Amino acid sequence: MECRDLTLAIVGSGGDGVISAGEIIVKAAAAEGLHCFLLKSFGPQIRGGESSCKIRLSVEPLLSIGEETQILLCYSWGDYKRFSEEIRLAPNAVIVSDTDDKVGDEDLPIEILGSQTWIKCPLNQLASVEIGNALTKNIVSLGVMEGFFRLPEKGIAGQITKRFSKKKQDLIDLNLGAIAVGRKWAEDYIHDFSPELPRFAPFEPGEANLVITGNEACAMGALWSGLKFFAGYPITPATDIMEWLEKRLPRFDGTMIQAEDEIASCGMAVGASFAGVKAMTATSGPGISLMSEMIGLASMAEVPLVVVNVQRGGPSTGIPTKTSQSDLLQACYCTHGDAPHVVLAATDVKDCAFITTQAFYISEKYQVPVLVLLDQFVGQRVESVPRRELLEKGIEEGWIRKIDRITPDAARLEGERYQRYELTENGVSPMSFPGIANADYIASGIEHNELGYPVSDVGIHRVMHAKRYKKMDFIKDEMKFMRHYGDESARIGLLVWGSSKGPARQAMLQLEEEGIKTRMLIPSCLMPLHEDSVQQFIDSCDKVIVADSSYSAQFLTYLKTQVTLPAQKIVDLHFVDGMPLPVKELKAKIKEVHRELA
Amino acid sequence: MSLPESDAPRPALAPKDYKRDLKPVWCPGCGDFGVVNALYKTLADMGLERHNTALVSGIGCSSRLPGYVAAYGFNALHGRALTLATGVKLANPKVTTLVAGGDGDGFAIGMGHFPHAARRNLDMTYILMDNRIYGLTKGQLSPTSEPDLVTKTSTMGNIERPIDPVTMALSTGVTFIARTVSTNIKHMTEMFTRAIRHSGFSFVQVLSPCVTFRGKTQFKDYQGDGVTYLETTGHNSQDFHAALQVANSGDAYQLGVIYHVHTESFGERYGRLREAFKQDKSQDVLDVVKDFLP
Repeated sequence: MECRDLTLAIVGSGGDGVISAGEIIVKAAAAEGLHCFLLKSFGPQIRGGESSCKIRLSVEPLLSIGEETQILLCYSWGDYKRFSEEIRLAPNAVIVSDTDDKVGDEDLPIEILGSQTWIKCPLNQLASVEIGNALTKNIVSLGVMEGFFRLPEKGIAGQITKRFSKKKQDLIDLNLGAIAVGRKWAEDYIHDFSPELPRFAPFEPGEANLVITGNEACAMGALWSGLKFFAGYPITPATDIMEWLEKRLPRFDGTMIQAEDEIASCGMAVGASFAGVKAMTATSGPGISLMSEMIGLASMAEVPLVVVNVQRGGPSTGIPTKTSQSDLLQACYCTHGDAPHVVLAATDVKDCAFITTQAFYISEKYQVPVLVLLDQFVGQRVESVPRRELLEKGIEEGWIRKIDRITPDAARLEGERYQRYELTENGVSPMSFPGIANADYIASGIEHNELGYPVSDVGIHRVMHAKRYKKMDFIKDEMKFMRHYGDESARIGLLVWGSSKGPARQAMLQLEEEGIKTRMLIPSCLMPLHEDSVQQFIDSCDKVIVADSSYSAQFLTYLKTQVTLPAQKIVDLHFVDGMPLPVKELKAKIKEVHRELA
Repeated sequence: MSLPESDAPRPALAPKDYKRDLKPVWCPGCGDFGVVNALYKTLADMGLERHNTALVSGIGCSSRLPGYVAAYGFNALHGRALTLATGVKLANPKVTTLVAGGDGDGFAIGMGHFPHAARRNLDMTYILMDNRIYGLTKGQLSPTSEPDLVTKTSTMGNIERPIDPVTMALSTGVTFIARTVSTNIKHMTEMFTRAIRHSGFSFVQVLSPCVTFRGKTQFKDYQGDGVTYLETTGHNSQDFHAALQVANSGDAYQLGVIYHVHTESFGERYGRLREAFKQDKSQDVLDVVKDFLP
C-alpha cells in the first residue's frame, strides 16, 4: 500500500536514542523537500526516563501531527504503556519491536496483541553481534524502517554522516554499517509480511525544507528583530530558546546571560532595555509567576520588554513535559494594579518567528511589555518549513523589520527640559537612554509626573493611567491580528487560539470533504483584543464552538470579559490531557452541532 | 542604535551640578543626606558625565537616592536593583553603573542576587546604606539589626542573629569591599571614588544612621571615638585573611578599604567569548536561517 502521508511513533527508554532516531528521519525527509512534524514526549522526570516521538511525513504541507499512528517502532514495551494514549495506534497499525525485549503476552496491551502485522526484529542482536556495538540499536532500526517502509534512503545515510561529521571517520562508518545491516534484514524478511505494508510512495525530491522547532523560530525571530540582550533561567519546555541564543547573541554583539532565577532574568532584561537595547526573556508558567512584579514595573516605567511563555501543564510544577493552554488568564492578569501590557500567541512553528517579530515591533513602538504565548506543542515540536516562507516572504511582507526606539528630538533637547513621560496624543513619549546627553531622567515603578518625579497626587495618577492605557487603544487598532479560515458562509464557527490552530484546521478540512462547512477565527493579539472583530464573527455564526486545552475553559472565561456570548449560541469544548486539541473529538463535536442545526 | 556623540570638551561640573531639583523625602538629620552629598562630590571629582552614569535602586528610604542625582536613574523594585543594574551594564558597558539601597532591600528581600552579582564580577559599584532598621515602613526589624534590638516587630527584643554585610561580601568573592560612615563626607568620597575606579564588582557599606527609628545613640556610635580608620592600623587590604579578621573582629566600626583584588570582570571575559563565537561566521543576522538546513 503506497502512501503519501505517513505517521509513525518511536518509543523507548532514556538512552535508547528515540529522539535522535526521530530527528534523523525527519531531517532526511525534509532534506528531500518532504513536509514533516515531530512531536517529542517525555515521562514526568524530564531527563533519563522513558521517551517517545511521533513523526508525520507528507508530500503535502501539514497542519497537525495526525490522529492515528500507522507504524510503531518500540524498543521497550515497558515504556510503551506510558505513551499508549498519546500514540493512539490505528486499527491496522504495523508494529516493529525488538525480539530481545521479551514481555509476556499478558503484559501487552490489547491493541498490540491484535495487530495484524507485527515485525519482531532482533535489533539488539544485530547491533551487538553484527556491528559489535549495542549502542547502534537505534541506527540499525532506522535501516530496518527504511527497508520496510521506504523512508528516504539516501537522506538517512546523509544525516548520519552529517550528524557525526565532527567525530572520527570510523564512527561514521560504524553507523553507516548499522544502517546497512538493518536494511539487509528488512530486505531478507519483507516477503514474510503482507504486501499491504504502508510504504512511502516514490516522489520527486524538492528543495530542502528547514527543520526547526517553535522555540528556535521564536529565538530567530527575536534575533531578526534586533535582539541584543537575553537573560533566562532554565525551565522545561522553554530552555531551548536560551540555549539557541547562547551561541548566536554574542556572534551579533549581543549578550546572553543565565540568571540566578526568573526574577533576576526579567530584571536584567528590563535594565538592558532601559539602557537602550532590545531585550527579552523566556520561561514557562512558574517563571511568569515570579516575573509578574517585574512585568508590572515595565508597564509602569514604560520600558519595552518581550517575555516569552512556553506553556506547560500547571498549576505549580504540574506536568512540565506536556503541553497546555492554561496560562492565558495568567498572561492577561498577572500583575497587581492596572498595568497595561500586550499578549500575543503563536499558532504554529513559522508563526513563532512572525509573532516574536511583532512582539518587538509593538514593545518598541509603544514602550510596553509584550507577553508571547507559545506552548510545549508548538515550542518543542519539529516542523519542516520552506525557507522562503520564513525568510524571503518575511522580508517581502515586511514583518522582518527592525524598529528603532523613538528617542527624543536632539534639537529640542538643546532648548528645553526633557520630559520622559510627556503627555502625547497616542500616549507614547520619546524615550532616551544612558549615553544620550541632556536627556537623563529617573525611571520608576512609583507613580510619577511627566518628568518622572515621584508623586502621590491622585489627579496625576489618573492622568498617567490614561496615558499608559491610551497606548492600548492604538495597539488594538494597529494590530488586529485576526486570522480567518474556512468558508465565510458557514453557519458553524470555531473560536480557538494559539497552537490549537493546526488540529482545528485539520478537523475543518476533513469535515469539508464530508460536506460539512465551518469557519474559524483565531485572534493572535489576545490583549488588547479587537472585540469588534470577534463580536462580528460570533454574530455572523449560528453556533460557535469555543475550544482550548485548559481544564477551566480559560479562553471562554476570557472572551466573556471582552464580547457578548449568547448562551444558546456558544458550545464550550475544552480538553486537559496534556495533549494538543484532539482532532477526533473536535470533529465529533462539530458533527453534533451540524446535526442540531440541520 | 547610534548615540548622538559630540567631541566638544564638556565643562567640568561642580558637585551642585549633579543635584536634581527634587527635594529629598528623608527626615531631617538622616544619614542618607551625607551619602548623596558625598556622591555629588565623587561624581564631580571623577568628572563622570551625567549622561554616561546610571544609578539603579530598589525600594526603601535610601532607594530614593537616584531621584536626587542628575544622571540616569531607575528606582525599580524592592530587592531587585542588582538585577536591573546587571542588565544596564551588560547592555551599555561604557555607562558607569551604580547601585544604591538599604539593608532590607539588599540583604533581606534582595539577598538572593548579591552572591551572583559578586561572582559575575561585573564592573559596577554597590553602595549599601545600612541603618539596621526598616525606615520607610516605620521601624521594623532589619536583617542587620543587632540582637535584642526593640522594634515594632520585636517588642521584646530581637531574637535573630544579624547578617554582617562585609563578611557576606568576602565569602561571596566580592573583589572590592569598603566600609565608611555617612558622617564623614571626605572618607565616603574617597571610598566611593576607589570603588568606582575598581574594575569589577565593588561594594561599599555606609553606616548611615536613622535618626527617627534608631534615635540619637546610633548617630553617636557612628562618629567620633567609636570608629577606627583602617589606614591607621596598618591593615593590608590585599590580604584576604586580614580582611576576614576585620570582618569577624566584632567591631563593626572599622572603616576603610577592607579588601580588594583584581580579577577579570564579566565584561572582559564575555568580550573574548564574543570573538570566539564570531570566528568564521557570517555577520548577517538573516544567515542564521542556514543553521536549520537539514
